[in-house]
Amino acid sequence: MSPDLLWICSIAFIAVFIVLSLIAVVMRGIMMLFPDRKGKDDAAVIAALSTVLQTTYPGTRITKIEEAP
Amino acid sequence: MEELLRLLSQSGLAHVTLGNWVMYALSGLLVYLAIRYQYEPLLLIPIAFGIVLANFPLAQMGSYGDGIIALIYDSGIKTELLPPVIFLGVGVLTDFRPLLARPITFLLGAAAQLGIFIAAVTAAYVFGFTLKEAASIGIIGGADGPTTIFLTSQLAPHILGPVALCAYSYMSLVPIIQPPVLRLLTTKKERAIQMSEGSAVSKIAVILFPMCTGALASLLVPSSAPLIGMLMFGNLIRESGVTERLSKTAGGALIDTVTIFLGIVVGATMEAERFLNPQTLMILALGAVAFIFSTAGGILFGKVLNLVLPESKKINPCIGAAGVSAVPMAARVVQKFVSDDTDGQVNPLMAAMGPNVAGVIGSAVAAGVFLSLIG
Repeated sequence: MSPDLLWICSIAFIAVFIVLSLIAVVMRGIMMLFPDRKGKDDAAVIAALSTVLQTTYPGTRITKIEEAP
Repeated sequence: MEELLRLLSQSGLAHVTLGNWVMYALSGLLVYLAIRYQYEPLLLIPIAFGIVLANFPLAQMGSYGDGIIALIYDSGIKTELLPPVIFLGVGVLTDFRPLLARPITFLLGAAAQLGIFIAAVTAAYVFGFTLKEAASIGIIGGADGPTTIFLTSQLAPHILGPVALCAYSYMSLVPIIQPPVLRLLTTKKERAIQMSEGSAVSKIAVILFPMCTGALASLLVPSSAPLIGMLMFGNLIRESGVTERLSKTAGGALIDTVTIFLGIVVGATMEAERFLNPQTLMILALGAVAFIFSTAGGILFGKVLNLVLPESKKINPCIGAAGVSAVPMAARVVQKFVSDDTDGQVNPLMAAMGPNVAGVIGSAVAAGVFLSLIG
């Protein structure tokens, strides 16, 4: 038994929070800097839409894809 | 005839003790649980067989003897080699996107380490364990086998067997341990909280995550670097998209090979005279304390967060329970509990995977801090 253990555990618990919080903040920042653009220019979606459109209206070209609310 | 009698007297049979028979029975029980109920079979089967090997008198097959198992123990556990290699494979097999989609769930993963510290303090102050033993017992609450073995092999190798067995046994008992705690600490209204969808995660963020996490954790708590470093290395192999061969090996053949060695060596630490004592029962009791308080820590912190979060961002506190690691079982338990309770209306599996994988990082950091302060 050691009288220090309560103190060590408190420090350790706080340290776990600090490290994980820091990683969370850094990753939040990275995700803001590099947002996911898949929704806007997903090549697979464009290809699928183009194929359908070319079949229905040959010769047309897709210039903008918007998601209706 | 005299030679035959001498041979018989020198055989293992003549030296089998009651304790050995008890250990054979324990081994049989583990094999039964692994096969009948699928309780962590990949670990429990090798551990069970290791127990049998270690309890063959005169065979020198224990981890502390002079045979081949001791050779693996000395070169794989004492040197801290095997647990980090397992973490490499875990990194390859883990998708951190659910965590990155909701960065706030990092905090739930941290809060769910509460049981580690409650169990450690209880072990020292109530049961009289030494500081190093108490820390090793506490880490059971991290619900992470390799982390438990990593820390215990350095701080208190003499209790490695019961501590590791306890960790893996309770991990498989998560579906039994967690639901009552979830029911006790959450209201019907809280369980029905439908969380908003997480943010989309870009490929760049997914690739930068292992590098940033590895660097930050290793710089802040260097003693956690063997675990976190390998975990993140494995994850980078997975996410880079250009190292498929490495990824396949680390997440397949390598982790399986190391699991075999780790399991059998841990099992072989459990020789009857070392294992069958009141200390083992205390460790089993403390392991349950650790798991219960870790589950409670995650749930209660979820409730605290809801006090400050706006209505649209409220989280279902049940997902905090998944912060105990035990990937992915704890997240599945939360999903089943919430889904059953809400007649399938609320399904927080993906949200629960966030704290679940954060818990892996959290317990490794906790082990690193213990090593820094006590080791």
